[in-house]
Amino acid sequence: MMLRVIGIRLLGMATVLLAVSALVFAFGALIPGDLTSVIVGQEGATEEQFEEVRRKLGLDKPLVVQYFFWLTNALQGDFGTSPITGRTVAADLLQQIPVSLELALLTLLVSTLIGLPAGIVAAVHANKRLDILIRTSLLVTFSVPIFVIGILLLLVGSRWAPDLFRVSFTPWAEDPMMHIRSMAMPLLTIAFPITAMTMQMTRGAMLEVLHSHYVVTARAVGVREKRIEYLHALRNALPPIVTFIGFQLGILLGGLIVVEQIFSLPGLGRGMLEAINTRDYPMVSATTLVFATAFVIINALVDMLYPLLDPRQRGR
Amino acid sequence: MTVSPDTQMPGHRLGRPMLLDQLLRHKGGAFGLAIMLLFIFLAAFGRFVAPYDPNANDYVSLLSSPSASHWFGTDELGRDTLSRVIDGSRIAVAVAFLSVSIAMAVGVVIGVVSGYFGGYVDAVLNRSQDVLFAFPTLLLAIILVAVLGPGLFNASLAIAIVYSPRFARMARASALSIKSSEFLDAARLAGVSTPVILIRHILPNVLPPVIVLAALSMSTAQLAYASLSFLGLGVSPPQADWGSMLSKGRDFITIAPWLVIWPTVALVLLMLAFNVLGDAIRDVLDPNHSSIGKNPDTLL
Repeated sequence: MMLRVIGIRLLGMATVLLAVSALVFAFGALIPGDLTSVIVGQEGATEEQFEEVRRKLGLDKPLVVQYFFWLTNALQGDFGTSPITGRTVAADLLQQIPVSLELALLTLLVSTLIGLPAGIVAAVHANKRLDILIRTSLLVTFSVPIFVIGILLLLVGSRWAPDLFRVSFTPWAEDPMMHIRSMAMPLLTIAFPITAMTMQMTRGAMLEVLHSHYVVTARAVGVREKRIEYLHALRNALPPIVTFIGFQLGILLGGLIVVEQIFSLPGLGRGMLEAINTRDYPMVSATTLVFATAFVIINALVDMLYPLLDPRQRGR
Repeated sequence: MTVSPDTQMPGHRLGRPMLLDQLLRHKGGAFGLAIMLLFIFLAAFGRFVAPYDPNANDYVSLLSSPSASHWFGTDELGRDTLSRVIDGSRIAVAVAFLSVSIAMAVGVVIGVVSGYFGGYVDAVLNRSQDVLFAFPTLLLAIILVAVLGPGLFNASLAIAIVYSPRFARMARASALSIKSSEFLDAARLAGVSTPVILIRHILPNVLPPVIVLAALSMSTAQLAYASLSFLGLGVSPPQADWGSMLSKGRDFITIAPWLVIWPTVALVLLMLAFNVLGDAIRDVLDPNHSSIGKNPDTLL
């Protein structure tokens, strides 16, 4: 039964991914200009040279055929060669993905470690001073875009923490200490709003559960308050909180693009923006595809996690 | 909050004066409205209020700190920051209204058609929106701007495309829920044509929740644009624009912090106003809303 549900979900995911890849390809084809003019250059190129390059790249074939070749190559990890850098796109991706992935995972870790307990505390003390303080700061945080948080941190950092300010990105393998220092500000910037969201969601889910009949019953029969809060209630508040990770993920991925740009981190988001600016078509399509695929797959995983956390959902 | 009993009816049509009246009595509503009107005023008449031409270079006072002649200081080309912040409100206000209006119009049409006709049309429209939902919102906006090209209208259009499925879902749900109600059966029996039913009978019932969503979307739309502009995908220089001012000001953050502080203040103030006003409009139009999971998917 369980396997069948998972099978259906996987099939659905594959369909969405196929549609997403088609859209990504279409976007790439719709961006003004084309690869040929980038490679050949504007000056002194004859019509024959253009045709030659177009044939070589397969751009003379119908779009559907181009899409098919692009997708089958992409599935084998071949995204073509960048006309701008001359390197293969896959090689660049292999450099960029670990940077973004590290930042994303660290953010999730930090936001869960801080946001979850803070949300529980806020729910337990609902409408008391502590809760109101937390919620007011949340309202302010939600009103501040990530790049503003980054700018403000830079502003503060330039005055009070010059060690962390303007440290250019250093890979872990090169110098672990410098690596940590170069990641500190970006992590702080992106973890801020994500933690606030985790906290808000946890508070909401906990409040709902804390008012349910079985918690009232547990209280009535004399189960200790702490045990109710952290065992009974939290266990049942988890499914909506986990679902929320799906929402967060979109914000997290968008946040990566912004944060990498602010702090000049050589990640996937910065790679994408650079590619858009230099009209590096294979790179634009590849980075977009990686982002969208990660988004779809993780959302699907969260969906599949749901029945594990909520027994009522099993066997449906 | 005081709400007269008749507004509690779902789908009730609120007269405009009454909505305004209730908003003004709502604590946040009055505040949000006041700030928003201030920015709309600056957007419309900023050219007359601003002390300097926002794009005029002054090579005598480059990066000068705030003073009596330049309240908010000047930038690396000697342009007056106050005048540029005021001029930037034109873009911010325009994008917020433009993108949300387009998203609402497109979303409502798709949603109503989808919900009312159902079947094959509904399935196709739903699946195509699912594909849009499969992209992180900012990523989709970025790639759409790359396709459409930069500029005020194209950026608004990109944001509208990103947001329209939300409006479509909401309109679809409302249309679906009243599709089989008796007054529609009566209208159909009386021989009212389908377009008239859609416009005269379905639309008015679909609008209240959609208006709430539109109000709540204003701040995220403005924020989305600011992010695009910060990433270099907004209006072209030298047009003053808060996002690009921030991105440029970052290079001078140690020597001229006022270049990032004032655009930030303006940006956050307008967003806060949109947020508070959106909450107020929701409180007035939909008093029984749930506070959990409120507006979770912002664009950053």
